[in-house]
Amino acid sequence: MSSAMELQVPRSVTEHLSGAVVAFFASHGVTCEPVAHEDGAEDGPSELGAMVGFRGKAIRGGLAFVAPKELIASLLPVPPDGARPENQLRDWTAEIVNQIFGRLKNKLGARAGRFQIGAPVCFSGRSIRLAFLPGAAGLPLAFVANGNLVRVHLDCVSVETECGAHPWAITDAPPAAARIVAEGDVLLF
Amino acid sequence: MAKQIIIIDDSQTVRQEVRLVLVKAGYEIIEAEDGLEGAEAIRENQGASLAICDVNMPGLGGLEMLESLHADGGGAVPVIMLTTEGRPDLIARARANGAKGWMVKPFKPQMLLATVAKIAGAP
Ligand SMILES: [Mg+2]
Repeated sequence: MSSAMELQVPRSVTEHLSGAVVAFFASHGVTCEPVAHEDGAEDGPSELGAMVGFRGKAIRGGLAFVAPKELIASLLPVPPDGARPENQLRDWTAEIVNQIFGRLKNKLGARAGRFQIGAPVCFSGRSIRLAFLPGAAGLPLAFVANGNLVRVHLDCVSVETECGAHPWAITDAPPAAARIVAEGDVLLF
Repeated sequence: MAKQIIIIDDSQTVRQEVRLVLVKAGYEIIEAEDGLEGAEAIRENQGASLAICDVNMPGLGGLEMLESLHADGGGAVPVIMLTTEGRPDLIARARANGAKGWMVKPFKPQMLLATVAKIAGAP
């Protein structure tokens, strides 16, 4: 078993996660650019976040997404719900993290093996500070979209495994031949 | 009478997104928020023209729902999956359990409408 401290996030995961975030925003007509990682400002705007847990062959962890509430509201694909604005934004934030993780999995393709995903959970606050637990490998990413700071944290630990599988069960090798259906595609059987 | 489409997704935003597109086109919508509710909605609405179903949902997921319906003989309502997943093994599992199609989120409204019209017919 790899010790948790040795656990590294492979370069391809970093690149694909960053690409997944940029592509998600692009699909909503918003330019999003990676920036050097930074924490939210002390006097920052009201933020919303969502986290989704996952478990693979020899790894488990979570993906968190945090962005200003206003930015999240501007991406809503449906008219604002005047009666339940908070609930609507929470639900949408959960769907955003779900779609970003889905894009990451699809980009990793067959190399990533099987991941089970949990139901996303939401949180809100001001100047939310995301920190990794001791022993976890972390990938903190930051982006700027429409002048807003967006943060994405991938947090993972290796799980004891008898087969000695690589924690991510992936390598930086080229993708396998199996075709992954891309976002927006339709397959009829 | 308008054709009925069942939309099964744990995200209210996604259900509403689908609803807006399909209601505008003239379809009638039935919503369910997980696989258990979805299976019930399909069993109770055998006259529905189509069910559009998410994969990752708390409780009973979309593929598990499809498997349980398939084990019971499938029923008359065609099902297509609408999900962030694009993995071939999951798609094969859906197909083996009677699904008629697979769409990857986020969907384009015209694409959704064309797909629904192809399977369910005009509203
Ligand atoms: Mg879902």
